[in-house]
Amino acid sequence: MKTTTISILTLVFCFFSILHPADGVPQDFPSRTIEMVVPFKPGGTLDIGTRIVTDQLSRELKSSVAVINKPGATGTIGSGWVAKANADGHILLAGTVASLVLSNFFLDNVPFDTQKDFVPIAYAAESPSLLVVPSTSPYKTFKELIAYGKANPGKLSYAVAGGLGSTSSMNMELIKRRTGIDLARIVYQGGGPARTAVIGGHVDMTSAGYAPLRAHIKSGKLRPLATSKKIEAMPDVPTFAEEGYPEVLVVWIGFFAPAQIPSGPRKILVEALERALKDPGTIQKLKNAGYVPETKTPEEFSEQIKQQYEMISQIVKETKIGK
Amino acid sequence: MENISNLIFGLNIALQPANLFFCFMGVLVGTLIGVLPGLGPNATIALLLPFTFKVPPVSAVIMLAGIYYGAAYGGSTTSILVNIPGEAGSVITCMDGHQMALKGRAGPALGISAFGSFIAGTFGIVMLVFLAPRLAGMALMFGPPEFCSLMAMSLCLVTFLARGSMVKALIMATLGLLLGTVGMDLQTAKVRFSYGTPYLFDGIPLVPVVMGLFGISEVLKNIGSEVRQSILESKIKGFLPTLQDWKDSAFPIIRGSLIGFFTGLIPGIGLATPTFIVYGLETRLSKHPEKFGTGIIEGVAAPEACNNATASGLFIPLLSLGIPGSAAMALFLGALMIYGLEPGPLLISNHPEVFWGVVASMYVGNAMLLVLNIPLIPLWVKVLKIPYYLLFPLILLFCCVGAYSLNNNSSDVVVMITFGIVGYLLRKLKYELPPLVLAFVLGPLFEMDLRRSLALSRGSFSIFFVRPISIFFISIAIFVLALPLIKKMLEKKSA
Amino acid sequence: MKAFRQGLKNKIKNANFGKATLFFWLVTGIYLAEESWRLDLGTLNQPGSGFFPFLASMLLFFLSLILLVQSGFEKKEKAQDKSRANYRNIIFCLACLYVYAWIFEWLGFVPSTFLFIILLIKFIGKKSWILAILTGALTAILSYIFFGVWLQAALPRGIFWR
Repeated sequence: MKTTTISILTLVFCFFSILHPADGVPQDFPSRTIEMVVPFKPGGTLDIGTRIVTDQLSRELKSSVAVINKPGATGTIGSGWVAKANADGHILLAGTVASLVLSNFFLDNVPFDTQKDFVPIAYAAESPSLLVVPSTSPYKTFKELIAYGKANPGKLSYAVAGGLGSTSSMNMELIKRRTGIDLARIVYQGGGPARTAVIGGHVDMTSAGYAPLRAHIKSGKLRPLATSKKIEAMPDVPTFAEEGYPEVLVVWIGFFAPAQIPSGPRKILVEALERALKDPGTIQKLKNAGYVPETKTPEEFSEQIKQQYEMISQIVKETKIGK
Repeated sequence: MENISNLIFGLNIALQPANLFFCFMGVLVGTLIGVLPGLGPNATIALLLPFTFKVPPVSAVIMLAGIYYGAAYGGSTTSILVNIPGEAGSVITCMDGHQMALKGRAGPALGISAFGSFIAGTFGIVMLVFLAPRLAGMALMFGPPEFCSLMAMSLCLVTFLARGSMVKALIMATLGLLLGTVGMDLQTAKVRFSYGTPYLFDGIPLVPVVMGLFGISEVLKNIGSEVRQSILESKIKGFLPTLQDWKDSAFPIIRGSLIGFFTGLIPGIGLATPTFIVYGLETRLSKHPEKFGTGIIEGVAAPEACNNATASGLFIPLLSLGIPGSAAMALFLGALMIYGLEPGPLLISNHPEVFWGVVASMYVGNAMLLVLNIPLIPLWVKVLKIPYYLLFPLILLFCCVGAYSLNNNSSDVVVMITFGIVGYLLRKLKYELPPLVLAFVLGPLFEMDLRRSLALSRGSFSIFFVRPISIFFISIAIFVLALPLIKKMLEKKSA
Repeated sequence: MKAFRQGLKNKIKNANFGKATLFFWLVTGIYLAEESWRLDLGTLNQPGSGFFPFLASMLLFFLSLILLVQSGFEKKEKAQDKSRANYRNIIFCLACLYVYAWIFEWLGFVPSTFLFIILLIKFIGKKSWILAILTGALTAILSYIFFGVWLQAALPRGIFWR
């Protein structure tokens, strides 16, 4: 009786192991659904941009591309998972500055090293960082704000989303230290609550990406004082560089593969993404969502990441942020 | 009134066959998602976004709204039938809902839950239509001090929730507070109590915890004892609420809707907290407070009405100001942005067909949900008759898959199982779970807002006492705490 | 006679368990208070990371002290659950759950679920192997279709499907 049971079990088990989905005949890459991991919750800025691009990508590759959210620890859990995953090219990572650059500096136990464990395959878009104040605020320009802050230490506050590992936090810290104003740091769990607090006038300012801020600026609830990159819809808003503070970070979104990806699939992915990012429909959707579409070759992308790394190291050394 | 004509305009759009179809699909999928524990509307909305790209914006948003609503309805089903809260808002429903099911009254529980949700949902939509712009402004008045006082007041309600030993309930609340501190302290970037595990950086996630505490512990309890089978197989008493049930539930539904809606206006309040507040209130206002928790209809009607009203309440800041009150709302926001529709005051003026069409479709959706859910009740009740040796593996499987799908992380499943053990032990030792959950949810919020307020005021506590809304909540909190003392004093005087 | 002794054993077990829990709270309270201290308490006007956990753990300590004192005064044990709990079932179930969660991603959804259901039905439900295997297979396939295909939840493939 026991042997029969065991043999039945084994047979059934083998049956399941052999069962393959319909597209089981091995073919060229991609041979099954590609998984694009977004290491943040659905609905966030990176998530939406990724969904727009992967929608087009699946058409370019003529294969399905699924977005999988693996949030946690400012994007490091999902990114860490991809770093260790099977590197045959079917598992990819959507990344941004916070999860791949800042995390290595400001979080403990990060299970990967961005420059060693990943190769960039596409640079999708940038989200300019803006400094905004509520519409009820008396400051109309960046200079006014700084002047007031310098003259009245202890009065102004700024809202930040997340800890030091988030880009808005980093940018505000940079501004704070370069201008030398004493600002009270009000921390929120996410961008949404931070923005709400500023709209309501409870906090004096915040720095965030154009994507989530666009609607509020248009409706007049928030006033932009400076931006990290010129935005065509708002030509009067000066860039930080124009105001004399060039070190604000460029927030980018891009796609990566584990470093060991074979060159064949890598080439296919790079080219498909290039085509997807040139598609006018995709570009328009990205713009609608508040991004500034921008492309770089993977080599230029690696170089930019390297530069950002160096910049942050420099800043951390000089100002001892986070220590 | 112009609002009525706008509504009719919206109805015209909502009642177009294509949109009716999308609405129906939305509520159907939503109900399904709601019934399956753990699988929240967030995951589904995220999944269906790509499909909705191919469809006109109004229809897409109608469908997404339908999913959201349907999920709110469906969540109560598992709470009542198998004591598994599918999401935070259904936790309180487990308390009396499941007890009713064990007494054979699952039908009336499900029924009143559906009707209560419908009434509350309709109420919420009516308020939305007539008061949206004005109410939106209210949401903005809440800054850190107001939130802090609100949370303090809600925490004091712990005393209302305790039915047995007060000390034990307080211990549970303290435990909840401690569990809530696990994770990264954003203000100082120090990680508390994580012992090196990156998973715990963001804290212990709520949904696996409640699924474990209530659902898994219930399964463990049942397989550990031989008694369960006989209870359910004999007494199924009716499928719909009786007249008496309606009489008892009338005021709870009204109160639940009112409180739920207005607290829903406050962004970030979440769906759980209002249900706790309402439940506590009902316990105090009732003529038989000791019966709460043993399976009375008021204990189901009030929270269910509440969480639907809150769901409608959350739409207001979203549609009129572009401020998402919860994660699902943030998804909505994202979806709207992709379609090029910017939520905010401009939405109503630039795309009236979207705003009014969606609002009208909510009426339609609400009605559809009622019609869908009522006939399903006998079916659900029959589920309880499935032999337990078949039912419990399915329950466990659904819980595991649900917990996994939250974040595609099997650690969530491990958390759920562990809290299943915790829940089992606590229940065996007669400790009450709601205070723990309440403190777990509110503790971190209270602490964060306290520190934010102090950061804003540069260390001065006066900030809480100069802002009117804050003073309001603090007074209620003090009143609530003092109530037992006042009662005693009054009793002594009359003696 | 045997039943009487069993009942008595249980009474003792349950009684001690309740008290043991109280001591557990006491110890946890102190331990967590100490950990919170190390996290830096800050000041009342500027609370540090450890401020709240410290207060909470001290509260836990005092509350459990009160409870200990309270139950010390009770002569009669409140009526305990007379029915003997089947701990064997519970522990086995927990083991299955943990193993399931652990191998879920490695083995993939379908095989793990298959095994999981079989074990539960056979050893807790105490039904026959045939029933267990059939139910396991059916459940695994149907739930894969339902969750994985229809609802498009991302279910892990496991090593056999790469």
